[in-house]
Amino acid sequence: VTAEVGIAAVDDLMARSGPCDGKGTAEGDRLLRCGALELIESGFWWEASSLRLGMTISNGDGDSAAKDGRRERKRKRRAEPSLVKWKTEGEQRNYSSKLIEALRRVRRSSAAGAASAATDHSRSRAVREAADRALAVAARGRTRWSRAILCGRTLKRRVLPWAGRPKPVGPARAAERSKPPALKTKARVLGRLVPGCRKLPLPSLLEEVSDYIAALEMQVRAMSVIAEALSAVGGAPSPAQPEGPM
Amino acid sequence: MSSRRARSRQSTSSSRITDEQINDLVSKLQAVLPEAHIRGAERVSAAKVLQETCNYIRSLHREVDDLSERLTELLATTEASSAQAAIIRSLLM
Repeated sequence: VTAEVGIAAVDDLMARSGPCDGKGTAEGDRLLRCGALELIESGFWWEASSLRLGMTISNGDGDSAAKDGRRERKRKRRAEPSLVKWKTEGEQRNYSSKLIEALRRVRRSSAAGAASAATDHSRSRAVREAADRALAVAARGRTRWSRAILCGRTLKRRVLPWAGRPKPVGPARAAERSKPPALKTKARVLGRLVPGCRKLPLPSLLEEVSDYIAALEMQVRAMSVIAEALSAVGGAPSPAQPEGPM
Repeated sequence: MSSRRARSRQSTSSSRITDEQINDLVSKLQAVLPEAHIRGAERVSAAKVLQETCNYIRSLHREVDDLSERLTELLATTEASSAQAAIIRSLLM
């Protein structure tokens, strides 16, 4: 129950704090700060700390790519072991239990509102979104893709009033031209595949991509395990078996 | 050529992205891709690595979608009683 409520609270908070498409706005940060305090007070320290970490990186004045690059370089030592964490069993178990809670929530809501959410496609989309949200929470707010998932999905189709960002002039633009155009096109495609990374400069993008890939691999492993477990349970002759692998 | 290098070294403080930095990151990315152990230390072009990364992410997305569908079906058919929830937990932990 705790995980469910926690994730729902984060959902709500992130939706309210506006788009965090990799550009930490002051308003978004303010809401994140208030939300973090709320969550801490209500006991969800874990979700709150992921928000606080997210805020540290997307801090108010981090509007230019230059500042982001410098800050990320300072933080690089802390970020490097993060790829390994996606492979640990503990992380996967943690994610699996959060995912199961979210799945139970999806199941309950689809059973309650049977008429509207009755199609398989909408239900599997709900499952996919729950899985992605749980994955983003597991990332503890340290990466852009995770923050974008937590606050971007619901706002994808809305008009974003502060979406326009002043284009970098002069030397920065010259820097972008130094890369061959083929690389730039592919980098742009890659940026579109990873949530929240459309306008990221190449080094930051590649960092996000490797973390995103590691996280996705864990997501696939965890969901496969859960699917296997559910199909094993579903095929069991009597539901009252105490425990055991099969 | 040399003037370009000098300029890039000068403006590193304003975080101009150097080619070495890009190549370094690209090789790290290459190590993460599934065929890394097959390719070994073979130097692949950066464009190829980015292309393969895009393909890999798309295939991972597809896998997650398939698993979501499978889980949806399983959730619909499984009577998640408390006993079965206990079984699931014991299987996972």
